[in-house]
Amino acid sequence: MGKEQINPVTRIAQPIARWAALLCGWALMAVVALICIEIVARKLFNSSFQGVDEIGGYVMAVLSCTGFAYALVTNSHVRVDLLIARLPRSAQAIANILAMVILAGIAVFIVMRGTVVLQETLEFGSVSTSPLQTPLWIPQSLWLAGLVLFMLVAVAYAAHGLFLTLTGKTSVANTHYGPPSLLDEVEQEIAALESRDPQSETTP
Amino acid sequence: MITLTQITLGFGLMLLLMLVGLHVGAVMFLLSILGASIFISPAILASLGNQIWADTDNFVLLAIPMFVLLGELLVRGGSTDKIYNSLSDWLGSLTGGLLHTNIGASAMFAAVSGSSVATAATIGRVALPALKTRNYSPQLVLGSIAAGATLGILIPPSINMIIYGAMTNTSVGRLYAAGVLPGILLTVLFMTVIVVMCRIWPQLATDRVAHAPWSVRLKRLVDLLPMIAIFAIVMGSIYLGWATPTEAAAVGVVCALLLLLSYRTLTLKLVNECLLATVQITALIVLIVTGAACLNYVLGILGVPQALAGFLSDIGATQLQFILMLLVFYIILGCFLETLAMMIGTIPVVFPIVVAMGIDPVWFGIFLVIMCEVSLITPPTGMNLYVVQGVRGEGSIMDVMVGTIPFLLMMILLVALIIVMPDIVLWLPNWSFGPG
Repeated sequence: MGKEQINPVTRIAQPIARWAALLCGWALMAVVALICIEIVARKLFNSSFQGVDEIGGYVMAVLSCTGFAYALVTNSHVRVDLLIARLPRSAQAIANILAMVILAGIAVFIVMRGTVVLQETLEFGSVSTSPLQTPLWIPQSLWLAGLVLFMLVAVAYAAHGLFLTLTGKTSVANTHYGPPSLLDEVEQEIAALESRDPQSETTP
Repeated sequence: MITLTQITLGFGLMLLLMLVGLHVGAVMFLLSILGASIFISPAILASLGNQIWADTDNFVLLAIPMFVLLGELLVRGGSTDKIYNSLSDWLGSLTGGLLHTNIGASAMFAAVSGSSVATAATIGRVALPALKTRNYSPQLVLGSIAAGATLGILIPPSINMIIYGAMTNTSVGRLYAAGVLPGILLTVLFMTVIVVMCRIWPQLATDRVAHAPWSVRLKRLVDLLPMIAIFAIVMGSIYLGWATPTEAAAVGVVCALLLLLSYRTLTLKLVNECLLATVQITALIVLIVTGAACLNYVLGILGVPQALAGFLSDIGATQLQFILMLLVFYIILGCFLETLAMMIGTIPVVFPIVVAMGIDPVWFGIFLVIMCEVSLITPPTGMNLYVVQGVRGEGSIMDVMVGTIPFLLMMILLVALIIVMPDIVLWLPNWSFGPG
């Protein structure tokens, strides 16, 4: 496999996807705060301002679909590497590129269908059937933007992988587009633990 | 209508595509598109966009990132080692010594975290150094951590139960209540098997922990309080009907933030890392969930559940026979599919039949979660085996696999118990929420 090379597509896409994911993460934090304020208001003042669950739903939709792209650049979408790890390298490359091409195809399909959702919303000026009467184009365009980001990354990966394979660089293709191996995941888990403040490690 | 042969071929194709390394979520979308195109027309997928919007614009599913975030914060900023030390004060004197602490700490951690893998990594990192210097059978040490950590998805909160609840319209609150007794029972079974094995073969654990003085033990007991408090607040507010699981999780996140603040481990960098991990884990779950929802829709139109239910009634399968078939099916499937893929991928096909056979959806949810636990420790793809081995960083993974066998047997025993006495699962949810 040689020294780990940085995937050129990842180099461009990772900062964007990471930034988008972080924004969604903080939106989640905002929902946490809203929910807590809502609970306190409900319990103490017997008054509930409506719509926290509605906003929470929108954040969930945008967060998960924008996260598709982030999970893709961090190679953490679930793939089973049981069989593929035992194949010869050339067959591995074919399987890996097939996976990326199919994922890209699905992403394009989802974005096409998702675009219809936004188009209809804009056409009919749809608002949510709730006290908030949210104009649905607002959350839906953010949601679609997340899906488009996912599609762009997926298509770029597929094209890059295809190019690498066709030019005979199968081992490079395998390093970049192989499934997340169990060991990678384990390393991530351990790295996450090791990022803990050493202060909290001191045993009494 | 679709024939049984076609269904089997379709399922075989799904497994094959997953095994050659396609993205699990993509496989499900691809099968939906293929199924729709071959048997009806791709036009039935015209509303796919609206479906994905409706699937993801979902306040129930929002509990997933909330609980993931809660777990991440506690794993990265909490102090597992203090909890471990405190528990070993009380459990270390049982036959089998610190092995019980592994189980106890796992159960405790499971009570605030929704993920078994995170539990395995956390407990493993604290327990392995502590046990390396002592005279314990390495297999049993590793096995107790790998298996104990699977309690993470059975003892609420549990990510798997949220996914199951959202996909099948089963109340997550009920599922959480249903998981408590089986979770405690499995903890007790794990400890019992340790005691029995160490009585029969005393060489497995010759080392006893010296008793810490009472003053120290009582002082260390305080270290358990934050975890107990977070669990009590989160679960209590769900059981008392004060908050939905999503709301309770949000409260839990605030408690965790306050706890980290008091530990002085709360930094912007840490929060950002936790948030990124949360988005990443949520996204990978949701991609599979939306794929399965799409597959669910297509399979429903194709009449797959009816065809399978018809087949089962033709061969005259009873409820018990059906459950035993599922037990074997899931144990085999769990050997080579990743846990999430196994659970989410089979719900669209299996759940409608479960309902048709008159099996309680809450009971089946718990059954399915126990099957997920089994798959987490069955080779060759059991994630917990690799996590524990990864934390250990030496020796052969065979040690971990051998060590989990007694605990695997206890899981099967638990399944047998909940089949014979379904009330182990159903009593608490019926008591706290009324009969379902």
